[in-house]
Amino acid sequence: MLRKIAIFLVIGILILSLDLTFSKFKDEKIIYVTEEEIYSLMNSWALQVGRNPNPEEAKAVIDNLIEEEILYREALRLGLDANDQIIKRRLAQKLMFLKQESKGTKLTDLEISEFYENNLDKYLIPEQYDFTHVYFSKEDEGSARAQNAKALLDKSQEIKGDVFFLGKNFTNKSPKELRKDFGINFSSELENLKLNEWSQPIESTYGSHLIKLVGFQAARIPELEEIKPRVMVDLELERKDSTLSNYLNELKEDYEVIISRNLKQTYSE
Amino acid sequence: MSGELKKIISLFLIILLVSCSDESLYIVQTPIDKIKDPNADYNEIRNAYFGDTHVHTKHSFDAYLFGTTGSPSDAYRYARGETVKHPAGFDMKLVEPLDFYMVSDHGFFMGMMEAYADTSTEISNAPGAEAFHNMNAPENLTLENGATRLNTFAQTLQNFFLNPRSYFDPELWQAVLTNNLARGLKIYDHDVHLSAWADVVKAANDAYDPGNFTTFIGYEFTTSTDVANENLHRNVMFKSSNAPKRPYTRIDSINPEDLWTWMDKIREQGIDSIAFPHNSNGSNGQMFEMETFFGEPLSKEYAALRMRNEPIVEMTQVKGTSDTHPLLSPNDEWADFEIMEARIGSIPPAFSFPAGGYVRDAYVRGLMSNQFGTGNPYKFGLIGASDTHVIGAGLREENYWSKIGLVDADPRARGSIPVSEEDRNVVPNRGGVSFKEFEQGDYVIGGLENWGASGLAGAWAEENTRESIFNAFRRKETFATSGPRILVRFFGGFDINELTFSDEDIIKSAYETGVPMGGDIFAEETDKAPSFLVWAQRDVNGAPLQRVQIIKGSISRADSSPTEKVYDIACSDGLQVDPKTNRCPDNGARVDIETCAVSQNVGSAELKVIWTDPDFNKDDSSFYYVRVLENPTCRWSTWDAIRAGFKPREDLHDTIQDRAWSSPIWYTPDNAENPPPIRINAERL
Repeated sequence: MLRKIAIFLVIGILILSLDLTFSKFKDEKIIYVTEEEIYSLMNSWALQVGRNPNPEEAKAVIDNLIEEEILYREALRLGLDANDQIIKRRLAQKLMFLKQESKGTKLTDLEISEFYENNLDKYLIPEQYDFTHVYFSKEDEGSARAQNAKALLDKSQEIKGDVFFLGKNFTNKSPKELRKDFGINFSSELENLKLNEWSQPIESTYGSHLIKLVGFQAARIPELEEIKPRVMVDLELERKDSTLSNYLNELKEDYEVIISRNLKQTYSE
Repeated sequence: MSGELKKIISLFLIILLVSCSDESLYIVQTPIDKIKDPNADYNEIRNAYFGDTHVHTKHSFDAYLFGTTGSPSDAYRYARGETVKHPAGFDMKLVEPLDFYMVSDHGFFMGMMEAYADTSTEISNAPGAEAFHNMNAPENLTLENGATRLNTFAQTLQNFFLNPRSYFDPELWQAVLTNNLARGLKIYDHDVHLSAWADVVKAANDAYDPGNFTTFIGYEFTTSTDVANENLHRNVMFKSSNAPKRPYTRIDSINPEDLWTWMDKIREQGIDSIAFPHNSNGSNGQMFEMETFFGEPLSKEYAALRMRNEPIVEMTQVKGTSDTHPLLSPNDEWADFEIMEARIGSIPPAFSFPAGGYVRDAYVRGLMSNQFGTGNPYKFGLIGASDTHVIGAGLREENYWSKIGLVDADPRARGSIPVSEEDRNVVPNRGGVSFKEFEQGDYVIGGLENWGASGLAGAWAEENTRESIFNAFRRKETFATSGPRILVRFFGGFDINELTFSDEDIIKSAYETGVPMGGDIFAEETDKAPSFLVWAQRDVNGAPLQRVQIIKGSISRADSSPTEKVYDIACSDGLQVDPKTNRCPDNGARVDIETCAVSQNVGSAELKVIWTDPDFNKDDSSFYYVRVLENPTCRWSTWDAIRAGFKPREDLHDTIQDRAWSSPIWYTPDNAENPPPIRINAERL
């Protein structure tokens, strides 16, 4: 046991002394000024001033660079970067931009169908009516004319109404659209109609309508194959937004978050 | 020699770099590959879509100051019918969702105010920014706080916003090198600005749902003249999902002609856009002046440049309606409608000279300019929009919240009910707000009482997509309403009178035989007068219609004298127009001012007519547009008053006739054989 401890200490001391020796040569106190750096500095100087710097000015530019680097390193050594809001924000912003720009991978069929299953309500198509109508304008005793017309229809005679602003035939009309185009109670009147039979007169904001329902689709969720391109676009959009939050969540697992107890109490509701 | 050459080359390179690095000319490619909803309509004779193209969010410096924290994405959620919060805490929700929407934040200082308020940003440490720190934290969103905000703003403005950086600051050099003056200002942070604009673009692209809901990338170019700060604001709307890296703003230039040149340049790069001026009523006559920005005479080139970029004008919004002014149209009994005659932003309010500030007058000026041989720079179509600064507008009289957030959320602050001595803390505390004693007490006067619950844009388009609606704007096949979803069809031509309303395909035939609103008809060989098809339908949630009118303006070819006439062409309840007066008889619709109840069973659900101009003169250039009037209802100020147990304030209209206006159809007598007489404008000499 004692031997083990002795070996441990000897190796430890060896490593420590090596580290201390070489730390003197560590690049901590060395500033490399690369050719590229000088080149880009001179370029931006020329860009701002409109000519190339003379040797004296060039020296000043390089001195500036060196001084800045020294100050930066000393600031780091003194820990001035820690807990500085401005620096935190800047670094966070930089990473955020980088992460949002990174490209997503190809979508697999499994991912697409999973996304579809998890977002079924998003693809719900409300019930829809297809119908044709004969319209009798309120402006010209529509209600009475509609009654007469219905009687004629029942005797299989020809009838003629007025031209309606929004047209004669309607397809795929949801209750919401019907409310906007005909008035509040119109769609509930359509609920009880039988297919391919002329209705009794139905009142809208604009007059009376004899309606023949020619098609009805109950509210449904379309099969994936029908709307696959749309689902893919939606998934890609979501991917883009979630790249960043996924990345954040991954990182969050490595961190332990401790919130000041006082603060916790203040907001603990 | 070689040194000389080097100099020239480097100079050339610098110029190249400078011109390349102007970010307002750099297009950021953000393609979207959205699929149009397969169940959505496509209609070859076009559907009417309604929208609001003038909406401010937290990214506008003033909206943030008014307490708005809603983002562009929140704005689009509101437009689709979701409930969102007003800065003062109450819910905002539309009765009917809109079909299209455009967030149009002020271009200059976009995003900056939120960054000043957020104390963790670098720019919030700028001297002067402390006035805005934590401005919209929940505890600061109170009416009392809102009341003092304009004052803070006015005091800080001068010595805060326009401080240039020092010559040694690299940002100043960046400002010069990238042709972006804003970067030369001390309190401007370019990264903040770019990310706010990127958010506007992203929100519009994300919310776009082709077939169901269209969004546009846009912003407001908030400029004014340098002489008396006269309003020359306009909104810019982009057709595609790509947009320039930064908007071109009033800091780049206050001259709208420079904006149009910029729009031309980005159009060359494949990004089409149009701009629409607004609040010409508060421009002191400058919006439709008979000269250019620098006082040069009009020219064909000016007219072409302007019309290429500004085919549309937003003629009604919360800050008043710019159809016409009673002083300009003394024979129009309905001219006194939501008149707001203060210059925009003037504190205390200064009178805005009407001539040159209203669209009807502008149409006459355009005809006149054309007759002088300098083209028609005022041949624009019409839309309405709200200019809300709280991400969503309440366009209904009975549910009105004005538009500047905490500042006018309270009826006392907007002058519709009296303010007691002890409640003065909820009233905007700024220069220009004063009190006037009326029968029921002291009221705020200062302008807000003349704002209104308006307006909406209508567009006739084949389908609800960016492309289709943008094209409708380009064609000027648009109409404006003061809030309700009134539908209006309008066609003109020499054979329109052969159509009949019993024909199921009348609209299709009208497209084939004539032109829709926004179109042109030209002189024909015959002496036949043009005829017009007008068909209007009420809003299911609005009031019944009272009458439909045609407004005609023309210029005498002989002496360029203008005439203007308002014809009633269809009356409600089966009443007939009196051919002598061109007026409908009273339909008897009344409003009970104590309850806001309206007459039942009066007014029409639809009005339609084919009308032939009885006063047509083949030689005179003319324009025709439709105005549809609803039955009267209570104005918002009356609703405010009766809810609080008061009578309406005596100097305000207690009722309103909400209405719709079509874009005009123009008649041009000129052709190759009969060119316009060129006159010299004696006044200018």
